[in-house]
Order: sequence, then structure tokens, then C-alpha cells
Amino acid sequence: MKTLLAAVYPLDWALIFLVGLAGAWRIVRGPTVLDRLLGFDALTVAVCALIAVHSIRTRTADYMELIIVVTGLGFFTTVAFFYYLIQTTPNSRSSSLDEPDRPAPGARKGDGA
Amino acid sequence: MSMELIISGLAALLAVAGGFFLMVAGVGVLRLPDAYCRSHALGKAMTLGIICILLAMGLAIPDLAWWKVALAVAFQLVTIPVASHLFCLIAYRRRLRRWSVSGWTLD
Repeated sequence: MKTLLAAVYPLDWALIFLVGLAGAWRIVRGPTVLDRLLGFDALTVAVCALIAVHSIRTRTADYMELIIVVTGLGFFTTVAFFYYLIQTTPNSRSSSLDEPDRPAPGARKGDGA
Repeated sequence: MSMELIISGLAALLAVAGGFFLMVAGVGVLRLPDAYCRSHALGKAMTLGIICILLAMGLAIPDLAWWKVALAVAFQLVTIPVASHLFCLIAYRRRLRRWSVSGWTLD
């Protein structure tokens, strides 16, 4: 039955490599900086999946910590870049999301304080 | 012997399903017209695909501790939707134009 898993390996490798190519294409051709960040996140997940597929192929459990570490690296890179973006973006909405700048659709006119 | 065969077949099935869902997410990241739609594809289909592949890894490798697989699955399940939500939040703050069936709207 090892032949079935061995047959799965090139198929999964091709599919996940396509995901990595899509992320790289989104990094190169993103219209905004958000699309480039999103392509980087897709590329990180594709790297995690390729590590998992490779360790299925070689039957080793040694790369499990590597998967967790790569996931954490991608997530904290995204959060750090997001922190930079939200500090340099001129906020075009209201500053607090708890105070909407327009009334809720169901609110009547006399409801406000 | 038969149990081993069932586990191996299940692992192969999960690996193929995970690769398929990851490819669906990649096509969504590549082809959807809008930053909101792209982060939606990233947050749902990619989480499902990576969880399927990690479960296949846990089934196929005998000497792998189950709590490590659970930890990796929980970590993916936390981090990817949070990142997707951050994309949508900053796109909302920047007033990016949205795509809908009737055309582009600027909100």
C-alpha cells in the first residue's frame, strides 16, 4: 500500500507548487500592497504544505517543529507588516469601529441619545 | 495488516483532498477580482487544505506524536483566518473599491 502514497506524492507536489506560483504571481502583480502581503501569506502556507508532503514521502517525523516555526514566521511577518500599514495609513473611516459614522439601517430617528 | 491498509488509504485520500483544496485556494488568489475576495479564498479554502494535509501526515507517519499534529492544526486554524481578517480590515480602512455582480462600487 506504500505505492498509493508514493503515487500521491507527485500529484500533491504539482498542486502545491501551483499554489506557490499563484502567490508569487500575486506578489509580482498585486495592484496594492495588500495583495502583495496576501501573496506572501499564500506562499508561506504552500511552503508548510510542501514540508508536510515531503515528510509523508520520506516517513520522518523530524520536520513537525519546522512546520510550526514556518507558520509562526509567516504569521508574525504578516502582523508586523500590518502594524506598519495601519500606522502609516491615513484613516478614512471613523477612528473607533465602535462608533459608526452613519446610523445602523434599522435605527429610527429618535433613538439616539 | 488490513488496518494498516485502511489507514494508508485514508492518508492518501486526505492528502489528495488537501492538495485539491489548496489548488482551489491558489486559483482564487490568482483569479478573483478583489482584495476582499482574495482574502476570503485564502482564509477558507487554504485553511481546509492545510488541515487535510497535516491530518494525512499524522496518519501516514507512525512515529509522530499526536499532540504535535493537534498543535500544528490548531496553530494553522488560528493564524490563517486572523491574517485574512487583518487584510479585510485594512482594505476596509483604506476604502478600496469592491467588486460585486453589478460592477465595481466605491462604497
